[in-house]
Amino acid sequence: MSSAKLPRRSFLGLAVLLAADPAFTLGGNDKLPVFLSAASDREDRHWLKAFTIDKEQLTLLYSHGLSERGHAVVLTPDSDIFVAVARRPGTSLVIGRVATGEILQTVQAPSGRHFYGHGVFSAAGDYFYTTENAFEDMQGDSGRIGVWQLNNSVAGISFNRISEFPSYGVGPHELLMLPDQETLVIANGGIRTHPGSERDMLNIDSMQPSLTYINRHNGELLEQKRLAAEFHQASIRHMDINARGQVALAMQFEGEPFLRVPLLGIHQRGEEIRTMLAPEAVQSRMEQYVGSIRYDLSGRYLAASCPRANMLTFWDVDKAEFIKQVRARDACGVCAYENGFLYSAGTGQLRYYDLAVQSVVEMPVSEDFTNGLLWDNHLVVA
Amino acid sequence: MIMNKFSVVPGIFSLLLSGAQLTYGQNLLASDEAWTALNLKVTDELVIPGYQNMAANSVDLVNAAANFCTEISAEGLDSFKAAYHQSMADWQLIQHIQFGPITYFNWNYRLQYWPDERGTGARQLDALIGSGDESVLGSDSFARQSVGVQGLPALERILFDDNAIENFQGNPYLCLVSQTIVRNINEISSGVTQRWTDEYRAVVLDPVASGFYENAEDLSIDFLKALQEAIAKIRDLKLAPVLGDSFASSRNREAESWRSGRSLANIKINLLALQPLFLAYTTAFYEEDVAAVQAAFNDLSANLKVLPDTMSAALENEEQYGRLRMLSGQVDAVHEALEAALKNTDLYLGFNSLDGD
Repeated sequence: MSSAKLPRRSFLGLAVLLAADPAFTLGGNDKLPVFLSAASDREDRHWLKAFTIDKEQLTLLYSHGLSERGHAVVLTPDSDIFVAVARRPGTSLVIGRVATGEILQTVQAPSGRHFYGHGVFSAAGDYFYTTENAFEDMQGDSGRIGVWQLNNSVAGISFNRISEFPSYGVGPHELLMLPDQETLVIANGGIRTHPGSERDMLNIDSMQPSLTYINRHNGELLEQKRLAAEFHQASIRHMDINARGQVALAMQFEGEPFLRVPLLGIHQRGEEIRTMLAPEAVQSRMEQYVGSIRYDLSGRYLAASCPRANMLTFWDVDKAEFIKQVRARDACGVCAYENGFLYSAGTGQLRYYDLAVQSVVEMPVSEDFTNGLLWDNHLVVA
Repeated sequence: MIMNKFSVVPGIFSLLLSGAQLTYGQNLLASDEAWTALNLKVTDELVIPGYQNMAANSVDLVNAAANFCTEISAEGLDSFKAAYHQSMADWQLIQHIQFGPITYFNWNYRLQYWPDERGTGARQLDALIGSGDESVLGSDSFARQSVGVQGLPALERILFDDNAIENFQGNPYLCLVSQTIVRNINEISSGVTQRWTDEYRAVVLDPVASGFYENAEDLSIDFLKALQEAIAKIRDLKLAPVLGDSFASSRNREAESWRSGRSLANIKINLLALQPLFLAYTTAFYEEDVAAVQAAFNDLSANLKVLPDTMSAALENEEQYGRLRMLSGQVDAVHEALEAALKNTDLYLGFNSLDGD
């Protein structure tokens, strides 16, 4: 047999600290956190769910039916307002009040546009930007950034479309605001789709994903970066950003399944994208797919979920290296919380990963609100 | 029928037969031990024997290649082709296991790189044969060559060329390449067998200690995912591209193993492996769901029996084509029934993993 180096089995240990542990004091702050996520159930109904950690238990706060499957829930910086963004090729935004769960308005994408499941607010919460597909443009850069204006007062809100910019690419997915509050960074995934072709990917051979920075006021292209040409089928899909303006990228590779391709990268304005690989035994199991990526509160550590591989991976960006992986069946949604990350799974499970002790904490649930629930791709905390 | 030529692992048949006597449970298994017992049964009666069978028969493949290359003849080529058929049949029995050791070193893709939508394997095989470079044929260097030249599809392309005998006679390097491919198949199947026996069986016995699984049920899900994905693969890759939209647009060359004329034989063998795998886990499902899945499997098997082994024969006329289309619907029905059964338990196969964004 081949004398190629055998994969070293990194039995990294999945320590599940059971909920009964009395030392578990997560969520001890006075102000209760509000976690929001899209979810579906076994009858294929779609939901927006909000829950908190109260007295060390997860408790459902409110639940709203959605007319179509959601993807990410986006918050104003002051956590007053949420927007649940429809998943591709959905066309609805559901706007509500975080504290009460009151639904304030539902708006539709303009004709000829659909959303990609992501959006971001300006610092003052008065503008909202969405990634969109101008899907009748089957040749050019069909990605668009929708610009919406939010007027929020005690009397209520108004939420209106005011303009749009090009995304300077195809298939824009997640977008974020830089710390300067003037610049949007867009993950142009590069994959052309059309709502008439279900979810088929139409340009895998020629796709050219990019990381694109634009001026949020006038849509001016400020900077655009691509991965090395050999990785042009690595769709830059999800991102997070830390206080230093460092952007973490998560990719989904659409090329040959046996190629070893970086699925994570880091980018700072003006520099090249730096990619990161896990050790072979882990990298080869990631199934070329990262579903969600988030910095911890310090901005140094990353959690990247790999739902196809049933695995959550952790990375140190200062050292640009992989730290650890844990088994997490169908886990995708992840958000920074306290000293680690809360994460959600298509199994209904919600768990906490403590960075300090590098172990998983199973979350106690006060009532069985997660039973039969399939948490969707992203999780956010207010 | 090509099928009759091949031996099938005895353990697989015994589980198929004993499956009918399994008691159907009303709900999920209560303990980790119960899950481990099922996983171990599958490992010891289906998985490891499947790989052992393939590894053992690959020795015949190596010998057939050596005999043929010693004296190139039509008879020798027939023996070589028969050994190839046996190895492909062995692989089809275990092809659905796409986790564990088969994923090490790209072993899965190196055994069978298919479908090859861009024709990469053919191009690279032609380039290799054209190069005449013997330095790339050692075990280490050949393992680093394109996966498209290393496994069963590459061997099939060489052996089932219309001018195979003349090709071999005119280019001695072709024999070296063929012997390298069969050695590679032998090394990989032996390697996977050894890894399952020496390492992964221990993971099955104690999945939590391995760090790869949260509990034994979690490991069962890998087996059930293998089952469900294999059924989807038959529907989406082995049948749909062949069927096209109509009889007029059907395409034999989209089929797996079309050159060796065993595309439907492969599917028949897949079913011989997949139904017992489901039967091994019936206690984890509701009785009525088990009955629905079984009924769907039985419909599928009944139709398969009257279909030929070669896809081209099944595409000869519209009536046969209709039967093939019915087969595709029946595979889908198995998939649907299995999905419904899984949804009624907590054996989720993955919401985000199957349909993420």
